Amino acid sequence: MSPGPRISRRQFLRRTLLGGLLLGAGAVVGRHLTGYQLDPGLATRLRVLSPKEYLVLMAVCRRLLAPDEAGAPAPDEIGVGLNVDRYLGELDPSLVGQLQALLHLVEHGSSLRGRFTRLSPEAQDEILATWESSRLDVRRQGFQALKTLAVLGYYDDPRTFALLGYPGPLLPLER
Amino acid sequence: MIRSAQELREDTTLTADLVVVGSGAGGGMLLRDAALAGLRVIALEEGGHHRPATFTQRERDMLPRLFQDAGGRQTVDGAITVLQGRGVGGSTVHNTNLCKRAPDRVLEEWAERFGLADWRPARLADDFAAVEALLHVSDIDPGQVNRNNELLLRGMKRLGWRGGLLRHNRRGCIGSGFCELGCAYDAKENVPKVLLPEALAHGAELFTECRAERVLVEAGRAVGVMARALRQGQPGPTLTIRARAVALAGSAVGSAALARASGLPDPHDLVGRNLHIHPAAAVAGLFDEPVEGYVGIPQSVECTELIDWEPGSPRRIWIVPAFAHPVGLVAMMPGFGAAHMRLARRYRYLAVLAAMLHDESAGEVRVTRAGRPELHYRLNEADRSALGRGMQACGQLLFAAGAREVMVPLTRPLVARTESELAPLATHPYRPLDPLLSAVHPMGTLPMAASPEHGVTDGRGAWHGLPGLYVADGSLFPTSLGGPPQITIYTAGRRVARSILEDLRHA
Repeated sequence: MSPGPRISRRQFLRRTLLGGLLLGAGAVVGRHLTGYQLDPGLATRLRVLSPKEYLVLMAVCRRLLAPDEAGAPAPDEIGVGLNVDRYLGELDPSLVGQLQALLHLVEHGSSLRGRFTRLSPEAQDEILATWESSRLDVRRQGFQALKTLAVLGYYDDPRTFALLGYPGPLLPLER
Repeated sequence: MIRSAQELREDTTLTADLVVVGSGAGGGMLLRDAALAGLRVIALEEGGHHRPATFTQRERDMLPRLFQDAGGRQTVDGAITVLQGRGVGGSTVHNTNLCKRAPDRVLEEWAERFGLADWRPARLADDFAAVEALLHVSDIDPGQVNRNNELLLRGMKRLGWRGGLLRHNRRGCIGSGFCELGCAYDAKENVPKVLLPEALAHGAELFTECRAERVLVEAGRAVGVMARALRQGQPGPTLTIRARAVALAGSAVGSAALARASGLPDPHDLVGRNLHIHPAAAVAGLFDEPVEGYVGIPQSVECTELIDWEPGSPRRIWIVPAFAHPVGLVAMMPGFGAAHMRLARRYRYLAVLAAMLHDESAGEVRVTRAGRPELHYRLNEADRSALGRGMQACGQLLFAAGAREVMVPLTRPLVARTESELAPLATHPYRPLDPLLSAVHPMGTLPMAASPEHGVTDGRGAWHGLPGLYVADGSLFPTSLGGPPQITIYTAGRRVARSILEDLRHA
């Protein structure tokens, strides 16, 4: 259980050769790029994440939570992004800032082939697998932070309890 | 009276005999004993006052309410998740109620190495007994042992390993299994249920939702604490408590961070160092029949085969069951995507054991410019080796109990079908996050020692060289404990209360 990411932008600048350049460029370019369209109804429900950050998070979650067989609820159906956003609202702002930096890095600094959200699922999986087993501690840390948030947003939901064979809380869910 | 500091509209100053920072096991006991003795006591708590009637048994609700950083506190390298309590009662609200006295050999070591003669087992026995009576500590009924714990018992029996049933402080337990998310049935005999009502009935006051920012020192004496109300995480008015005595009881992380932020006297550069946390690695066994480790008391059995508490011994692993609710367990499973989901579907059939390290490695609590604690901690070579052996032993126990497969959550997962396939674990080249580790027992950052060269505090919990300041939590332990610390922390609170009463009487 390690939901709070501890990757700091400064650490990345120091530790990865290209990461700093990509992150810096990504931050500048990212502000001026459009193409992050989010349903306005959904956008207004976000407490912490920007629409762009939400879209990057969901792109990551769709791969991390890719179903093993038909019938498993999709992350979008569960509302993983909103669940994570709600959780982030409980965190210290400095931790949230680190996660936001991580999402920007994933989007603009994880592949020379383009933005993460525009890559094929296979290419996205390749990046995540690289991060998961990277020799750089900070990349493995970033991967685990994203994975834990994805799991938090997905597996604490009555619709996924059945997938685990878990009966859920004894108390009424609406409590 | 319990008040939220959020109600404060302007900077406020109050006076008391004693101000206690933190309301966990140590602070709660100190608050109660001091109030019963007639002192005017005010306690400050960073988190909220959460009542059992509001507990939902869901991780996404309860992690933010009951844990520091919403359950996400980690060492700075992200390698170890450190679960710590936040809110009235601290970790006593969500711990698994294990009640063990500090091991005799550890206490003897404290006496021999640190001059803490008053902490020898015989000198502590009466205090331990009083604490256990107060908290209704009892043997766990064999009928309450769940399947995950039964499997550990079975494994130990087949291997001929040492261990057995634990003791706990629960009454009225219905075996819901949600201990670590707070007990909605109020069966924990903890600070909010047992100690706080007595303290409040004797005039103690508790302010919630305020963060202590600085210990006030005047003319070479601690004279109070300046705290700040928190409004939805944002700083509000200050709350200053001026008092004849000040006690830090905000955990080995919080107390050390406050001490550092306050620039308290530290002539030997000891404050915040000597951080021990009992890092633990989980190992899962897949069984043919459902285990349903989420039902019943999560931890009722221990294996002590690999721990002897001798200083310098390689036998430093304490093994207990470690089943968790879905998020906690599934996040630890290796991989992602479809392969990860296939593992998750085995949730009901898994038994999980944890190898908890009686650690020699020592880390450090630092403070960021924004005032947040940072935990720096790396395992030394000997501890890595012990942990590898511990994971291997967990696998042996699971196989002996009948597991079909044993899974170790390394980055490249180890899935063993025979005991011999566990052998690589003993020499696995540990690196941060491989495997993921967790810890629930930070301690040692303001350690006791008779000499100020070796300890921040003396054996009475008083700060060396700063009259009026005391420590009453796990920060006091000069070494790792090698077992669940709550009873020893409660006992420390009781003893520090006695020190304060004695000193104030003579002041």
